[in-house]
Amino acid sequence: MILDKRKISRTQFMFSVACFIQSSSLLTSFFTSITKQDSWIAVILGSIVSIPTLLIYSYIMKKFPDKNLIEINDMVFGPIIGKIFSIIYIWFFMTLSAINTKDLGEFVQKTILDNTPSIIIVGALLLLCSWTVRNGIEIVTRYSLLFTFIATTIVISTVFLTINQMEMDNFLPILQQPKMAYVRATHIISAIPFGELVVILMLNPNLDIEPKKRIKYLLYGFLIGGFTLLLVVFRDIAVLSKTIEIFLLPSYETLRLISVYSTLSRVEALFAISLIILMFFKISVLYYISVMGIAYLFKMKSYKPLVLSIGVIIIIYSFIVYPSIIAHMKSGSETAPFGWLVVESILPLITAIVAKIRKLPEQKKGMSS
Amino acid sequence: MRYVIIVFIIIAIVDLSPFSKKDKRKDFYITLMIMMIALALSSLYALDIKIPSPVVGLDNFIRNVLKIAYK
Amino acid sequence: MSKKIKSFNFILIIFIALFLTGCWDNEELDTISIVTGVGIDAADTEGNIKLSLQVGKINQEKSTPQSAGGSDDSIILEIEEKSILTGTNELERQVTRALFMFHNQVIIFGKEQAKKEIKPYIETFIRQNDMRMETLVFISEGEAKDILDIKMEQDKISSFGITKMIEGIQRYDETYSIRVLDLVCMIMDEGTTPVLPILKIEGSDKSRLLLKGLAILDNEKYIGELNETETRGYTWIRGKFKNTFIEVDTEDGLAILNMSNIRYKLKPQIKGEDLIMDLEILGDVVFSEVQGFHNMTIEETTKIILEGAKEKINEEIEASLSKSKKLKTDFLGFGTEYHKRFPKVWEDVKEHWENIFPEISLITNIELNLIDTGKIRNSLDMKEGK
Repeated sequence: MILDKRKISRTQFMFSVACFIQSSSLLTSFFTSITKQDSWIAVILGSIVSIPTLLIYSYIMKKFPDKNLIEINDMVFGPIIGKIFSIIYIWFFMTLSAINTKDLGEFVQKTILDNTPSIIIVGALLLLCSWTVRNGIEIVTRYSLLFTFIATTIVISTVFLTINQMEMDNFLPILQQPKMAYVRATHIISAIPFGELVVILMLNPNLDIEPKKRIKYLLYGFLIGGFTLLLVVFRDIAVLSKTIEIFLLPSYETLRLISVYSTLSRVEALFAISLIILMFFKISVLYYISVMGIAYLFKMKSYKPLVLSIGVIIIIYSFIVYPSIIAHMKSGSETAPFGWLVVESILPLITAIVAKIRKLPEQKKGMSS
Repeated sequence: MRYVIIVFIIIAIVDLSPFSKKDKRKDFYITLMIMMIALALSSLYALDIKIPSPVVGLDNFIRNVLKIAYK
Repeated sequence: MSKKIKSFNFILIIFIALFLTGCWDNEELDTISIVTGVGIDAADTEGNIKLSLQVGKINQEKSTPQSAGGSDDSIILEIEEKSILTGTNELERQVTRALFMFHNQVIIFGKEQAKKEIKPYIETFIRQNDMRMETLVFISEGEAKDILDIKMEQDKISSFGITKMIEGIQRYDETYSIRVLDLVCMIMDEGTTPVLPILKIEGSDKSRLLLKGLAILDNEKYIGELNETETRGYTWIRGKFKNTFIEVDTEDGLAILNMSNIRYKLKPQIKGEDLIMDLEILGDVVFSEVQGFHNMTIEETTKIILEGAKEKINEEIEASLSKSKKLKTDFLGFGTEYHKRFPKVWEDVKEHWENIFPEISLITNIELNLIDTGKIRNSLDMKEGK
């Protein structure tokens, strides 16, 4: 039973992963407020720490090449425990969609349209996303290469445009924060941008790649995304120096400072463009898998009737998810990494171990064939 | 509240009309259920009734029960 | 089915066309007044400030030249309030147009206000989204309002004049261009006292502005200022000259050197118990003007002039350093250098840095490299031949 039969090709998959990480690279304040000028170290550590998690994902993807997460849960844990696991995942995906929707809505409202009610901004965005979701995931991933290209170009060009404002002294002193700060920032980075890659387990049956090679493209995409994140953090530290810890959107402030005499300045619109493009991608993917998750959970024959209703739920959820930006920041940098860790690493790990013990899915294959 | 009703009428037309022809009872009920949840949530929101956020609940759980939050 | 999709798409497109056009936030040019400068002065009432906003007028009939100079190009709005935002909100009710802060060019603090405090007001400029981090910050000798009010000879709106002036100066000297970002960095850095450039009104008809040195803000309060020489010394130590003129006045004659391609190395060192700052300045010099030096060969002259130039730089640095020691405040940023290079040592000394700091000895090493003597080799006064 596959509800969406369209396939995702190799490059599409690779750049989707990259795009997915890049979309978080613009909102770096969760960890820049903790490790300050050493945030780049935290990014590197965070990527290293995330690799085992990615290996777990790829193990599951290899074992169950044509099943998605909800089906895998049912197979591995049986219908009842599997359903509980699936509900946790679906809740997680919907929460992520809501949080990202909220982020984008708030950003647009704060910086560009400050009198527009946010329901209009978010509603319009989700309406567009729902259109893509109804047409299937391939529609979005097809553009991932373009989106990655735009985002990377913007990042690299702004690095050159701010090069006259960079000071290498801003990175000093190195490694002088308390040790817990590094652990914490690493944890946040591995949980918030990188760990969210758990969504690829839902796209698994749509991949048009041999099961063994999926890990390769996953890692490539991860590297592109991680590298962009590193570059962004480097740029922001070099330009903003210590003040990086007080801004909610360090990259936005960096771009606001660009001014090549008076000919080329005020390019923060570029930030808005890349943020909106990347967030559109990310929300579409998250929205899609939330819908898919529910459709698979109830074993429906088509997921399309659910799309709009779930969109409405996501909009309302995005309004209530955090009462204020302070609660959001506090949760993002203090408690959420633990909650996310469970869903992103521990549950997949349990899935992988149980699958290994129960010798799935070979056993089943022998029976069915 | 007016807008909520208008939006849901549109959603109902778009999403529920395919079911009139084909016999997919189960799908129909599930769709209806999800739609009702969405309607309930948005009505509560439109009527300014505070809906507790599950994420804040999780936050408090981690912070106060498990006590593993970063300081 | 395809008909349904089509109708769905149709509804969607109409929806987007209606709701994505952003008419909530339209701001037409004739409904806003563009704030070009903000001045903050001390008020008589405790806790209040006198806020003055300079609003640039938009010239609607640009093609008619005779209108230029006729009317005022900017107006000043003034109010006394507790904070900047309460002030702007109050003013918004008094003027016909909405205040538009995005194009604010300068923030000027009156000296009296600077003596009280500036930190709480800087906060607004980094928190509010319509304020930019690249806005320049100054301290005014008199009232900030007067500076916003003057009509400069070439630029009718003084804040644009100030920005142009700073842009010009920035080509050879970066000391005077302190943006909000730089100020916040200085406030946040451990072991640096912020400094801000001082603006003063000059000229008989009060139509000129002069940058008159730097104000030192210990704990974000004005505690003193640097004169011209000390400011030059500060610039040498912080490495902010891109190129500069050095005036060498010796017994034998006067020479003006143009120094360019300047490279700085400021290195903190710890030798035993002593803290030593090592300052190295390398640069290429060109003779720009030479007077006097009768009956001397070019070689002798060069030697004297270069020695004199080094001495001159050293004097300037010394003046700045002794000022800093006298005021017991580290505006030269030595503390930050130690914090960056010797973080462990810094942890021990930062509590009583203002006592340790005056003990620091600064060792300067200046190397000037004569690359050119201008279009002529010998001065008119000099000995002919060799």
